[in-house]
Amino acid sequence: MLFKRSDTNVKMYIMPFVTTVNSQTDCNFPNGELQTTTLYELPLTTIISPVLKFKHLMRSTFILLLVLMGVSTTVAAQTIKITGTIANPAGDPLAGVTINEKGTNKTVFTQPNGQYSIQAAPSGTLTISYVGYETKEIDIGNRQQIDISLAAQEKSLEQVVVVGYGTQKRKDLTGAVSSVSGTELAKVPVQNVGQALQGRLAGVQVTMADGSPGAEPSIKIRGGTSITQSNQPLYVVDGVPQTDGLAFLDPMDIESVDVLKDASATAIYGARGANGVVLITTKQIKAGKVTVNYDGYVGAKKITSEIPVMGAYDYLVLDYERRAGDSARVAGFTNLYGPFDSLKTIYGGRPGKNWQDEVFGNTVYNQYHKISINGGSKDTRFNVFYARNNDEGIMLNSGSTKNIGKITLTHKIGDKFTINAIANYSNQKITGLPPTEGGNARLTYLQTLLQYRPVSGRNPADDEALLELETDPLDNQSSPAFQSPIIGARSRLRERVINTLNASANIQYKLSKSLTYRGLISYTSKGNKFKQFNTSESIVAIRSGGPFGSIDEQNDSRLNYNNTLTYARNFAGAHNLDVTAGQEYIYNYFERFGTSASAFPTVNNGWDDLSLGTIFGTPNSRAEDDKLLSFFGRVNYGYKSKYLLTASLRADGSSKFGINNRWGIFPSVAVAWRVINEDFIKAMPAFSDLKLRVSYGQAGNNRISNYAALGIYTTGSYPLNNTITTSAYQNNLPNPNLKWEANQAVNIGLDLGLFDQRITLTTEYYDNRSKDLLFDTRIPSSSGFITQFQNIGTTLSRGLEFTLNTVNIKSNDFNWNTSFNIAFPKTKVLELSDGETSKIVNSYTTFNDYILQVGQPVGIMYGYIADGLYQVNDFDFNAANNTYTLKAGIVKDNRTVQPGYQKFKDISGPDGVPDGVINDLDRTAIGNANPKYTGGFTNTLSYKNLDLSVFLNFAVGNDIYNANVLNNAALSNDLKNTLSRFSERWMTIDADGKRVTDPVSLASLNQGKTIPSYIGMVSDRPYNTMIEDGSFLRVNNVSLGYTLPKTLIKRTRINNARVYFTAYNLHVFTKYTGYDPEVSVINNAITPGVDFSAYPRARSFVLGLNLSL
Amino acid sequence: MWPYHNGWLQKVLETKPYSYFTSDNFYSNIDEANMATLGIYGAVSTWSGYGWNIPMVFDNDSDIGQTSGIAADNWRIIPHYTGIPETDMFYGSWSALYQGIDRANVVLEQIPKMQTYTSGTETEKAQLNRMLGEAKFLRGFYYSELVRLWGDVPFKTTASKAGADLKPGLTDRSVIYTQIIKDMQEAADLLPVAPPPTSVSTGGL
Repeated sequence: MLFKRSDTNVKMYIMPFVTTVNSQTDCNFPNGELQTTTLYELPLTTIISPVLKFKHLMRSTFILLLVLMGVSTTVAAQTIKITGTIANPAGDPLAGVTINEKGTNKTVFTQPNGQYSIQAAPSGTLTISYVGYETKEIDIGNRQQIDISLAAQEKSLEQVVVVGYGTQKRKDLTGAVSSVSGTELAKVPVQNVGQALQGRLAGVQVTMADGSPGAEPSIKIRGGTSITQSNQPLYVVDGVPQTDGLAFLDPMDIESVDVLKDASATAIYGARGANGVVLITTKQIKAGKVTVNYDGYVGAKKITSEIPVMGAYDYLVLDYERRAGDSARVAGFTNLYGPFDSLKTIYGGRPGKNWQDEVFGNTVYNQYHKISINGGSKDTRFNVFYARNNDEGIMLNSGSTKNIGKITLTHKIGDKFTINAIANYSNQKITGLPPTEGGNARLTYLQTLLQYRPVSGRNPADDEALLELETDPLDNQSSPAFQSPIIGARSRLRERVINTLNASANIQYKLSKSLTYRGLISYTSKGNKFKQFNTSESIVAIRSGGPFGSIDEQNDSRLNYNNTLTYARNFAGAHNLDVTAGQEYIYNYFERFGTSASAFPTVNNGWDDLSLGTIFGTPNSRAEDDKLLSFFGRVNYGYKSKYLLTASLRADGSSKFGINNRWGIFPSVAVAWRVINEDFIKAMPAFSDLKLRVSYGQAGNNRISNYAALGIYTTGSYPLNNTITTSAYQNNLPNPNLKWEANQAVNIGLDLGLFDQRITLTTEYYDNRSKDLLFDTRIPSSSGFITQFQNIGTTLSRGLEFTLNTVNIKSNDFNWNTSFNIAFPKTKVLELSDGETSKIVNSYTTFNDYILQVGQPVGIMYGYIADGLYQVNDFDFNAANNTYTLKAGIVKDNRTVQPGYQKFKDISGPDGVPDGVINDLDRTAIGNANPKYTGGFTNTLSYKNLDLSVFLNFAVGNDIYNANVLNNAALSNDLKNTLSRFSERWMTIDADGKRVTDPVSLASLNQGKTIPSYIGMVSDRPYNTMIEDGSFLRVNNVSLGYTLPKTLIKRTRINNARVYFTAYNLHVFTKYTGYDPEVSVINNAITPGVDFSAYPRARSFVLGLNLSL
Repeated sequence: MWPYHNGWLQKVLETKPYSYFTSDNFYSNIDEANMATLGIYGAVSTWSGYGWNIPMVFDNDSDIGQTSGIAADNWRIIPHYTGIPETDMFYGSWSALYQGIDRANVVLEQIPKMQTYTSGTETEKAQLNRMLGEAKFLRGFYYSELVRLWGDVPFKTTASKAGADLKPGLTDRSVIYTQIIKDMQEAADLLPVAPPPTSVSTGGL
């Protein structure tokens, strides 16, 4: 500060460091504001005149000096320079963070390296804020170096949630939207990110059909609505809608997943929203210096459980039992294996070959590597990465390898214009013979693996020879494939290659302060090629005249564009309005082509040269397309942030629907009351959020085949004069009224937050009615058609969902958060076709085993009820010819029964009362594949640099149809091995191997037996013994990580490093006896929960590294 | 209902089923008419028709054929006279026969509408008439089988159309027999005595 005496005025010059003007200093500054770097001339009189009025000049001079010094300390307050770095919890510096001294207008921003510099009062407070992170207030406390770590806004009300065609803050939501962050999903070492969603979100049920590599998870939101059509939701990835699934995404590239569950959120997607919508946002690039990142892991996998199969001794006893009494066949047995009484000594301790061990038992390895470069300024940002995931399957010769390359560019011009471009290429190769392949249920690979004999002969060393036995001398051509399963897995080659290119660009242009235009255009090209070849050593080639193979390819392309205009404005501070209007067009086209050849010579080039086949199959080709055009609008209105209203309307026209019903209208309305903003709640500090939501809306499901409304002529073949000639006929009755399946949904939700959002609980109750369900309706077959595709069914899906998130402990060193979700879904069929109250269907084989019944849920297993065994005293014995005749009064079956045969319960006859005969009328519901409740439980803990996350998921009350057991109950078929549970069966031979015929010995031999005899087992009817409880609790993912301390890596180029160890599918607690309780091999909504030849599951342990330079 | 039912909003959504024939564009030439006629035969050359059910199951057990075994399969139960009406084998054969009848009805309706039928060459007209004869005979034959197995049955001589009432009542068998005899006599007039030397029609015979 300077003083200059001139005349009677002492001028004072100050350079103010603070720009806030105290209203009491009666100063006239130019522009009314102080500039921080200008020297101001202050007439002294303005400051000291009130003082001078009361003092003598001499004394006043002294006092003046004192006052001046006092004034100088207040006017030019002492400020210090504070510097530091602002980073995110992972330690990455954040650019563009706003730092403001509280109470002043002084604001600075962090540089690209996260550093800032500000002059502030030593006793002041700094406010630090940044989009996506929680605002922090830090007391300066005389410090000059303040480094701050900002916490991401995970569960807070300011969290931005992606909704249809826009975003909303969680506190403004009127619909039911569940979200999960990408960091949680990235911890699960799976190839398909859909699998990582298992158990994370209330009401979103994710199941894997089985454990095959490259398997696509099936997602069902709120129980699903459709009976015949797909129940999969619509997927929207970065604004681009598609129904292909999530296989083309890299699981570590996800920023967040938001799932729209109720109609007010999904109605904006109109005819595609009925099954819910999964919105995926991939990693958004933040401004900052360019970083190079490496993420990778290596892991080992091993099968979790095996199905117990008979060992050598039990197998041979069964084999002998089949032959006993026929001296020629017994002689054959004795020659190969030895006499019956020596079986125990020779084979008692010999396990024989365990085929599951040989084919599935190896430890296999998987690896994942990703290199990415990203960064940029506030205006231009980019992200480029390449990721490769190699997942070996636990079954021999199987696996899935995925390569993904992606480029994302964002460019901003001024404040008005933003353009975003994404190009994502994914290449996935899946190899391996599916255990379900084989056509006829008896012939699938897994069944033949379980049934192949474990011993070859008397000499134990010969068992090894079975491994490579190409032609088994016992194979009698009519039995199912009798060959070493190892040769089977090696010689039946299958390869599927899926290439997907997704390219999209979206622009955002601010036409004015309130009006924004957004446009999106995207193109997807997908190729799916499936090659198969059975080499000369495979049994299927041997039996069909030589090796054979085929190549089939399908190419899909899709063009999608949409335009929206949004008007957002706040009126008079109390009314918040945002209106969106838009249009969308989607065009899908695919072509399919296939060719095959058979009877190849033994030496060949497999599928790489099909021309070597001597018999050619007929090539086939196909092309189809479909179009969708839509117009939609949405209004969001909020009054003082207390009362919220959302209304939307969409009109969809689709080429798939009948000519009379091309266009559909889908409205929705939702209201919400933010009780937390009411005065009476504000007085209760415990509450941090309280919101009540009610919504109603209509959405549709258009996932039907493209030409279902037309009368299609199909070609068939007819042999005429020894030549195959093509015939043609109309395949279906056309239906010009065919339309989408309609879903009317009501949702009531309550969001509760306590103690500053430390506890948040979301409760949802929903009631979804689906009508106009597409159904092959039974029509009188005298019309020439058995069914007509009509919109006629109705189902109900109702349930309760809870999501609870708690921040249990929050301190500088130790944090513990818990997330728990549970859903209680219930579905019920309300109506089938006219006059039809039930429909019986088959799942994996030729006999009926499921029922669709009015008043029952979808997914009911239907069959007989087992009622013990026929005992010896149920029969009259005729000693003259050693025959047993069933006594009167004992329930008869429509096959001839003997002691030791399976007995069934007589439920009903033609009159509705038990009639003493077992036939089709004695069937009833024997199982329900739907769980009573499902959910998941996550605990995340962090202590200093360690982080631990434990995730469990569960489902309770669902039944599984163990078709593996049913199929292997056909014990009377020669040569086949079977499950070890059947060794405790009713025996027809005694300890010497002789057939027992007299009643007394037969009864005493089989006292207490519950399993039927080898010839009395039933395998062509479904019955309740095969239905098991599939409830489970799975320790799904346990991940322990350690972030290297900054002090350690400060001197290297490394910015951030984290190592982690993850156990995936660590353990399943369940009573189910099959491979895994989460199984559903038939892809049909009516027949869920079938376990037939499913690929087993594995447990994997991975060690990973996240590195950032 | 929807204001732009026939306007631009409909046109923009039109697609062409590339790989399928539809009732609009089939029957454009003799080959297609022949394929459709073969379809009438094809309806019953299945397991449910003359491949298995009718000759092997319904005709057994009798003096000309018996089925062995006492297991619970339908195809053993029915021959042994222990079947129940709910067994779906009966429904399968019923449907197969009516499928053939409807295909015959379609051919009998569509062939006379063809251009070639009215203005083709004599050879072409003869071929089409032969196909009409086949359709008439087969329709008569299938109805005779239905009456033989079931008695009074629903009776239709027109093709099923979308939206029509598909639940006719039962017709007295003597009425059906009258039509059967009429159909077969007309077929006898239309059909040639022997098949032509080259059996598969190429349209240019």
